[in-house]
Amino acid sequence: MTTLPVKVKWGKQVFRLELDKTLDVLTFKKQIQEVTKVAPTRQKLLYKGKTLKNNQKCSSIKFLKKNAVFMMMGTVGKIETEIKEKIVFLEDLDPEEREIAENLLPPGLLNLGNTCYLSAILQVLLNVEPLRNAIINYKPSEFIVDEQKNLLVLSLQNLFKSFSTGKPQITQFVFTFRSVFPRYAERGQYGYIQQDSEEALSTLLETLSLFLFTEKNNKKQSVVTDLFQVQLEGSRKCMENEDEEPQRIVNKNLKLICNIDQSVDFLHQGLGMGLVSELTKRSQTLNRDAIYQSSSKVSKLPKFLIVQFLRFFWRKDGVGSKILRRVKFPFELDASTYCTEELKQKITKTREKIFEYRNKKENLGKNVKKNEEGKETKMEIEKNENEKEQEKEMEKEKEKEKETEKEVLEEFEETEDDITANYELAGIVTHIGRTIDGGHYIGWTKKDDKTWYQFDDDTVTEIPKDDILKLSGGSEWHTNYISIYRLIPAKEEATKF
Amino acid sequence: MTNKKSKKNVEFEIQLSEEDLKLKTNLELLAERVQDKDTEIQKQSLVSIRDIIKTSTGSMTSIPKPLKFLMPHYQTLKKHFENMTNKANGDLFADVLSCLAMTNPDPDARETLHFKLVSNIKEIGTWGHEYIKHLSGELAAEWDIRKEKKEQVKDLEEITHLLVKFDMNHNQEPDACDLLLETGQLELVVPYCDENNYSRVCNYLISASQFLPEPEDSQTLLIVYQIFTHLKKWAQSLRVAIKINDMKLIQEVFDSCEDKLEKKQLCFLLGRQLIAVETEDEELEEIMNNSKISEYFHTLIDDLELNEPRTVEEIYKLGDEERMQRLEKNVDSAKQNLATTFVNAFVHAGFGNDTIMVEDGNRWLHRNKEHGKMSAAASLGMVLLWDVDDGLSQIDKFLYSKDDNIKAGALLSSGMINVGVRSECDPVMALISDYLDPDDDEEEEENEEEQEKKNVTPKMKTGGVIALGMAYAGSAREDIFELLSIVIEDPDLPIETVAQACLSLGMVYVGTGESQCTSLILKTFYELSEEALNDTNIRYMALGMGLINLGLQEKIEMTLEAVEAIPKPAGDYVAMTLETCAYAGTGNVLKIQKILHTIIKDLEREKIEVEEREEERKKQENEGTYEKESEENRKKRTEKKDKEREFLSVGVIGLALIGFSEDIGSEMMLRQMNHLLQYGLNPVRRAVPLALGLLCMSNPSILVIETLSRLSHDNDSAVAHAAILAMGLVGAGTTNARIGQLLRQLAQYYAKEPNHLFLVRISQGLLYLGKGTLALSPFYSDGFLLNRVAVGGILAVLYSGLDMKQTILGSLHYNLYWLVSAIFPKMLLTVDENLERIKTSVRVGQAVDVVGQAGQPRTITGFQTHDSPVLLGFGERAELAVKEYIPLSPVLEGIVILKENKDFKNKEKKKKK
Repeated sequence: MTTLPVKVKWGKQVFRLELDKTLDVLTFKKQIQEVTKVAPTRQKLLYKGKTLKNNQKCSSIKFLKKNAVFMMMGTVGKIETEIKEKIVFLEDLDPEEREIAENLLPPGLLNLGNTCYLSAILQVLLNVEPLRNAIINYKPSEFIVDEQKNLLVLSLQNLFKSFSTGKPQITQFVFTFRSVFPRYAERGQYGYIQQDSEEALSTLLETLSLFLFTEKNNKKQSVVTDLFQVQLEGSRKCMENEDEEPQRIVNKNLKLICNIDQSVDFLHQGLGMGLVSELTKRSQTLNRDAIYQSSSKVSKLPKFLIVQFLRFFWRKDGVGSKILRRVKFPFELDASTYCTEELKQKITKTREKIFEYRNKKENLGKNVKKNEEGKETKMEIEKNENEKEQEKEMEKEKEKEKETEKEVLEEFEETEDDITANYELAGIVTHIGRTIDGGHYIGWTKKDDKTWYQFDDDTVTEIPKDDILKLSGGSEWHTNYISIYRLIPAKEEATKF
Repeated sequence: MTNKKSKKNVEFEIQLSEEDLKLKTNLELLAERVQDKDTEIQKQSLVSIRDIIKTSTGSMTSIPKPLKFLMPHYQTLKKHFENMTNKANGDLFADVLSCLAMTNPDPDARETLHFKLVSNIKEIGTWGHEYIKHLSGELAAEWDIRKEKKEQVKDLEEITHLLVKFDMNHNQEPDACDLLLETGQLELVVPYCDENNYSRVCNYLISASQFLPEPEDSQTLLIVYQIFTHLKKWAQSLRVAIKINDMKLIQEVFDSCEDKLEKKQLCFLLGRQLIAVETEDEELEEIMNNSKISEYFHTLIDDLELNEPRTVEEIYKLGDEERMQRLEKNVDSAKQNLATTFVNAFVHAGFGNDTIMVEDGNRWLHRNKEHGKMSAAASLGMVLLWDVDDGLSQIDKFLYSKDDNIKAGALLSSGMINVGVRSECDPVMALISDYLDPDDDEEEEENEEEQEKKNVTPKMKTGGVIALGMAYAGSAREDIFELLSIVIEDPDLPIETVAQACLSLGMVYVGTGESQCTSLILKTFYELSEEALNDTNIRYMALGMGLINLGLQEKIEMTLEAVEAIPKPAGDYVAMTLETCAYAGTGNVLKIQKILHTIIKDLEREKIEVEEREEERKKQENEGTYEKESEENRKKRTEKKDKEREFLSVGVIGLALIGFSEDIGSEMMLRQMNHLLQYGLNPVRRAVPLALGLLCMSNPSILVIETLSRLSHDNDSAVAHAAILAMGLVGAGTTNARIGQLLRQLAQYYAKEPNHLFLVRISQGLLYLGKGTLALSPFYSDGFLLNRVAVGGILAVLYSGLDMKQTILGSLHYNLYWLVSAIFPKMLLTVDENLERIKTSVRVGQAVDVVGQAGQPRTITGFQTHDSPVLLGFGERAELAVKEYIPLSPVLEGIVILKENKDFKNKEKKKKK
């Protein structure tokens, strides 16, 4: 009797084998290989607290007996021990890199002493993508109108570029800004004084409009005008002389104003009021000073609409004071109400188009579904030729519809005239405090549909979208001062859902 | 005055009813006649008195009327009895006097006993229960006095017999036990025990034994053991034998039990305590080896539908935003990934499936860094816990890795898979010995593979020795000792490996007091360099020694003396470890006081030192030589101080360790911990949360949770760390909602502190240990038995917690895996005679202490009825809700065999007929 019946356990499996005592373990392992497909070199054969050696004779195995249970450890095939992708560990990074990796928040701007008014508007402007690109890609032309202002634009370019490093440097820009516009270098008791951020924004945009240009239809066009300009058309009427012929006026502005008085609770009311104004002017017909009322409508809407809440006024004692009144503002603004009839028609046209497109798409979806359902049921029944033809027709229809869908979309892309007048809130500058030359400014920009960023100088935090609504005023908390609304292009509007 | 009194007397007499008055005069007459010279008259009157007393009724609050009326005559009767020359009616007279002596207000007179001894009447029940109580009390007192004077007590023994017999026959088992305990003749109770009263007697004695000093406690348990064996209650005998920790008794029970089925149940119990008893029967051996535990556990989780693996994000209960953030990050944090590794391991312990390791472990391994890879590879072992067959083949692939850490982890995991499970093939031994034993391979021709094997790094050896410690914990196997001593005696190995080997040795020989193991560790201590003695790994060596001597009490005196030769502060550390371990679970008050005293002494010393420094400063200031100590220096100085005092931390954990075995002790300890928090120095405060963790392992008591929650915000980060970890231990496997919420809050609070966050994650993992099916408590079988191996595992983690920065938060985090030794399913699984699972309804409720209560009171309250298998939380008890089965285990925990109840079946049949 040289052979012995034994059991070999491999995982949950048990194999019954005959062990030849005269041979060595390697042979036994080969025997195991036949049933398990594990190569002998990959086999670990364990028995009674010992790992069996390949050249060991089976007869020398201690405590060997009939029906002994061996345990085999081994894996079939090649064993992967390395992985291809490289893993970057947080702990290996430089402190700076680590900071970026840890908080994915965009960087903030250091406050150099009452420079929050600048930081806030810069953060909001940075979020206006076309403007940012224009600034970053700015190349001074050969004929420079104003050397100093050119330097300011260049320093702004540097600042915007430095954002990508995670540590934006604002010092140079502030320095240049102050030297170009000395009124921002005014010092008070405690160093540089606080400034009105809206004024700073206007100053900055005016400067930029002189330097940034794009080519459009072979015409040189100012980027700032292209992006922000609101064109107003209207008439000025003398209130004291009915007979006087109303004067036609055209205004080009970079912003709309939201007037605030006791009747204003919502942004759209304030905007409406901003379009009507009264002024005293010498009347040619009456030959004396008379009150005129001018009312205008928007004849061209910008891609980015800046809305200023007229919260500051100069009290009689010369102190710049603030209206804390609560004015609710929407995340989505329909600007069509302020438009001229001409523009309104355009808007209606676009909207009809979009509506049509949506309807089509919806039907398309339904049709496809129906077809598919039909198919399934038909699968069960035997198909006759008629049905087959029908099917073919349906498929054709489908293709057709797809084509039309494409066409419509292309159409949206081609025509620039399609304007929806639907705006979405993209950024806010808020002010906290009671006076113009005091308080604190903070910038807020949209991150995604649920969250916003809050830029409080160099501290940046993520906040839920709903917290933005708390900025409408009426309390001592931060109050919406400047809002930037982005025009939703027709194509985007059409494919929104 | 006299006038007044007599007036009162008159009033008193007036108040008496006619009936009472008659009785009174009657008794007075009888008392008179007892003093009559005529013996016949005397006898008659004595009999009448006896009858009157016998038939009267009394209550606890009022003396029976005849006794009251006879009270004034007691002294005269006594005198008459003493002067009486004719002793014809002596016995009867003495008996009556013995009863009347109860009215004697002088407690030291012990006249009841005196007259009972004088009387020869052996009947003691004549005078009712109150008399018996009185007599027992006097007997015990007299016994003490005579023992002190070394007088003979033979006559007293006789009465004791009578009393015990009476008590036992009248459902007053506790009284009998008390008397026998006080007179030290407990063995007398054994013959009086029968089916009806044994459980009350044993319950009473078992709980009494917890409050007895050594060695009376084990003697008492021995009597309980005798009662159980006398009545052939094998399972119960075994429980007590395990409690006494006497292998001879265990073997005796096992051999005396003849019923195969009952024997199987015994094997389940033995398996739980990891005890191996010699037997020829393979089936029994299989049960004892816990071979099927993985299967049983899977039955439980299948039944509870917990099989689906969870992601760590689910465990952390992250909100959508946080989850998105985690996904967005393209950079991995090695620390947080390591936490994920542990959490995944704890949550899926024993489940055999998870979301990161089982399917594609390799990917996850490489998302850990260096030493993190070791723990990552090892985590597979915890997921595959108990599943020896499948588990080992799954870790095989990691053994071919080129990375030392992964190999070390793979070796470690092989041990974890085998925790508590013995296998015929002894695979861990086979696997590890190849890596540890250098002589083994010499004759081999050197092929490629062997060469590679030769290149065994210290890290891999570390993994190997831990595996041995886990797989063979409590086995006290000689060959393991030899293998470990090779590592311990190797001078070239780093202290880390040596220390782990010592700890493993402690686990393997836990509670054995094996002198060759103790001396091996001692020798290693003597040979260590000063630098090594200050290494943080020393704690594991000390613990290894402590575990060997776990529960040995005064037997460690010799070793303690030898420890004094180890240089301080390491020497203090070792001594404290040894002493606290030796008294683990004893509730020894003297030791507790000693430790508290050490803590106070140190506090006083510190006060004096501070004063001295202040004086020095003032002096220097006056001389103008004062230089302000730099911040750095100050820090260094306090750190050095803390290091020197680290043995106090051990003391605090020791307090918990000594007092944690019974309810009252732990309660007292909890109070003591609050005091320590208030006045303790740094090392003391740091250990308090861990001690609380030990006291309430897997027992989320609200009070402790609140304390820990407060401490988790402590300014001292070491205290906060310890508190966070302790919250995990207290909640281990309970899925307690309160702790869960607190931990989630802490995760947000410490979001920017990687170390704190790491521990919060670990605790979250512990809280959901085995998805709530497992527990860490070292006590089982109704909290009666202590699993010493589990204590070892828990202590290893607690000791690590004393220097979190260098251990768990450093590179020694694999020490967390020692917890695996304490992990056990908190299940009740019922099986039939063929060990196949059966479903039956059981009631689960809070356990009630029924010790010393009369009758058969309910042992649980507020119960709910479930179908087995069920989970049993801390302090919960189960009982069968149906009568068709009889459980073979006295305590329904773990795996219980149910036998069909034939009586019930017959009755059912009869009913049908």
